[in-house]
Amino acid sequence: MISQEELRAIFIEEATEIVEKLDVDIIRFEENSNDFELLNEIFRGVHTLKGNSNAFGFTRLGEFVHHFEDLLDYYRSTKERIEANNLELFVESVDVVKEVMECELNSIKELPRSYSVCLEKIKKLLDAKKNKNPSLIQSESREVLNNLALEFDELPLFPDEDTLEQSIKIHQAMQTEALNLYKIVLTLDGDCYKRGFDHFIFLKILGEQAKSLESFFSMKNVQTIEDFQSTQNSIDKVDIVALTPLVYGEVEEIFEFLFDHEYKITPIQAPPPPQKETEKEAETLFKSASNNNTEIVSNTNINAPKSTIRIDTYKVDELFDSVGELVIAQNFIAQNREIRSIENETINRTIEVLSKITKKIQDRVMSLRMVAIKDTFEKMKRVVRDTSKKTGKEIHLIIQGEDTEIDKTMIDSLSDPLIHIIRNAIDHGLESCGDERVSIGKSAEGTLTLRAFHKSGNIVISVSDDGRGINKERVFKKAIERGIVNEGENLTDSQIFALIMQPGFSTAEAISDLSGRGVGLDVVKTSIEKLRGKIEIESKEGEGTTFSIILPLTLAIIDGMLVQVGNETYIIPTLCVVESFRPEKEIVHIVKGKGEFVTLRKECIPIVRLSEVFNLDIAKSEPWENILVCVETDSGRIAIMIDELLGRQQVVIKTLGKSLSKVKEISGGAILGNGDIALILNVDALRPQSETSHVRD
Amino acid sequence: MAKTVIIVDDSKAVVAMAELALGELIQSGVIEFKSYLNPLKLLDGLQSGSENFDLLISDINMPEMNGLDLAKAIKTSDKHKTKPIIILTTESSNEIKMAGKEIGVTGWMVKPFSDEKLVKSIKMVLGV
Repeated sequence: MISQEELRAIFIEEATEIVEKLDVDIIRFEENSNDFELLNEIFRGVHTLKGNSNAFGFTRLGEFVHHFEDLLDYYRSTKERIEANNLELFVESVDVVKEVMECELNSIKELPRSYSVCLEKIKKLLDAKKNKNPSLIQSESREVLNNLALEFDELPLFPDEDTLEQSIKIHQAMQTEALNLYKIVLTLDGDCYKRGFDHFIFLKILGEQAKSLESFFSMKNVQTIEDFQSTQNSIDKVDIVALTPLVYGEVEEIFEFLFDHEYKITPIQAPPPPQKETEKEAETLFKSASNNNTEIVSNTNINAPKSTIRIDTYKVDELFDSVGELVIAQNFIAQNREIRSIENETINRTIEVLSKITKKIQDRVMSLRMVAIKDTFEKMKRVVRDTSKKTGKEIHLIIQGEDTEIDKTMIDSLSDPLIHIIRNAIDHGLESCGDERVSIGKSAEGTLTLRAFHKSGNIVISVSDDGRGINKERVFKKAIERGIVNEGENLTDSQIFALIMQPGFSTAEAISDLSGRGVGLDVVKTSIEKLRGKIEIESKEGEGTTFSIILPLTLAIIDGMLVQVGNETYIIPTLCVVESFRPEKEIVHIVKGKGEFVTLRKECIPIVRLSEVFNLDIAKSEPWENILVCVETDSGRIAIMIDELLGRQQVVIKTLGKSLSKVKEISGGAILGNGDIALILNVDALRPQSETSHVRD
Repeated sequence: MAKTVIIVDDSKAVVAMAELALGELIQSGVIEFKSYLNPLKLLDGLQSGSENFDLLISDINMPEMNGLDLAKAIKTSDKHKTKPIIILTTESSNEIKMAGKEIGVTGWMVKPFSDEKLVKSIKMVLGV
């Protein structure tokens, strides 16, 4: 290790060098006092000397150069012309530095008289300058701090708006669909440390989940070290630019414990599609950014401008299919007993990695097919406007969740049903005129709400009106008239509402131009069912009606419940499953000529034996020895009798080919993780065997 | 080093639920979990130096001592004055929040809370 003496020797050598250089520079400066580069040079020398002399206990020299530095800094930052007599003071000061240095080195206690005289002069001049222009002090120290920051390759401590804007622009260029850009402004109260917060916790949490994060601290209230208090927060503002996959709600959650006035999150949209001009601009931005050595540029490849390619959907489907196979193969490996029995850590870890990657690929490929429903909703605005004009009803349209993503193939088939439902809601749902609404205490303007959201693995698109609601009695009467239902049939509310979607049903007294031509809602129902979705209607008389279209996330994958009957495995789409249970003997009844029923909460539900539907060769057992899965179908609920529930799984749907497509009870097949094949049930086509034979008779 | 999370609640059920919810964090050694049914005991421990914490989660209404008073008492010590304290409550009005801010309360969690929310809040406050 270096000894104290050696260190002292190094200091003396360096200090002497600085002083010699000062001596030369100050004379050169005297000749050309406009050379601010030279003034900077002198300033730097004095600055180093100050730090070093204090470190070595040469406090008298330190004290002197400290004030000398302040003076130099004043001229350096204001670029004020140096008056002749003050220039003289500079030269004098350098002389004093030389003399004091001699004294310090030789441990002479007595300082030359010039020391105090010159120091007084410097202080006086400095005071005069500062009093003349107090606002300078601020900008001065700002510049010092910014320069200091530059010396350490940091961003300026007092960022101007430009720096922030520039950072946002650079990040916008890096934005992709999976990455959101936020500008977050933290203005924590002074007492935040007491509450256990500091800014870095937030930066850390955000940073862990961000692709890129840049923060700008502003400490306007701290001009000098005396202003700084360690117990109080002195950072008045931190601007954060974060590029992260987190959605708004997730970002907001991070700041949940702060008061509303302490943070502000602003999502920043992706820039408009690149045009030549902006491209150029971005390019120069990148250039300047890389010159500044900011880390953003170094850790990403933003040189590639955001671009899109058009791909044939057929190719995407093929890719999707292959990924489906990959998922199956991966499941096969993960579930294979022999492989699982190998107790080798490397193999196990590799399988784990494989399954992670497979899942990632599956998600990404899936996302290729997903588009926001925004455009479809935009189209609906027009529909609402036109219908509003035609019917003369004033409508306030609310759109929610337009960023919800949905399978592209579904979006195309969704427009027509949606238009129909919206027209229907305005035409039939809303009261005929504003006066009618006002008389029952509603606003004259009708409200129509269009929403899209995710709900337990499905996508729900709902159309709500605040109109008159569905008149159950009228619907039921009409249904009897049309012969859709029999008089005396006991129907639940939702079953009655479902009647309006039956073919040939129309309650509109006058057939209007828009809807009510009898080819109404049943068409909507059929087209939604083609997408493997369903429609639910909720309504309250006098308050309004909601039509909810419930769709699976994608057409290619189905969320299924795996059930076992004999040696066969079947898949029931989870969407239609109401509940599963083991019945008590007492609630199972046999009705002559109609078959078996189970009574569930006063509702009589027919039991369907899969073994009979598919002619399985298994011993006949009683329902109370088995499990019943209650499912919702077109024609009411049925209870499917099975041996065992195997679990819930996402399966890739495979079509079965022409010859099997005639079997109505099956909608497709799927390959399970263990390589077995399971058939997907089409519950709407399932009927109790005795019932069908009854009908045939 | 595992961070010490202490929960004070006069209800054993709440404490048990919290411990269950934090199971993963505890097992992975991210946090060390301690619980007190009586806030006075905790205060004794903290004052004598036999107890310490990185995050305190306290109920507000407890027979021996109110959660805010507990926070106030803890914050008088130099050692603990900047440590995070989350208060559990059934309602969180603005007045009570402002009073909490005065004392130096980190945040509020409205009961009943979900497991997920508890884990998230702890991770957030401790920055783990």
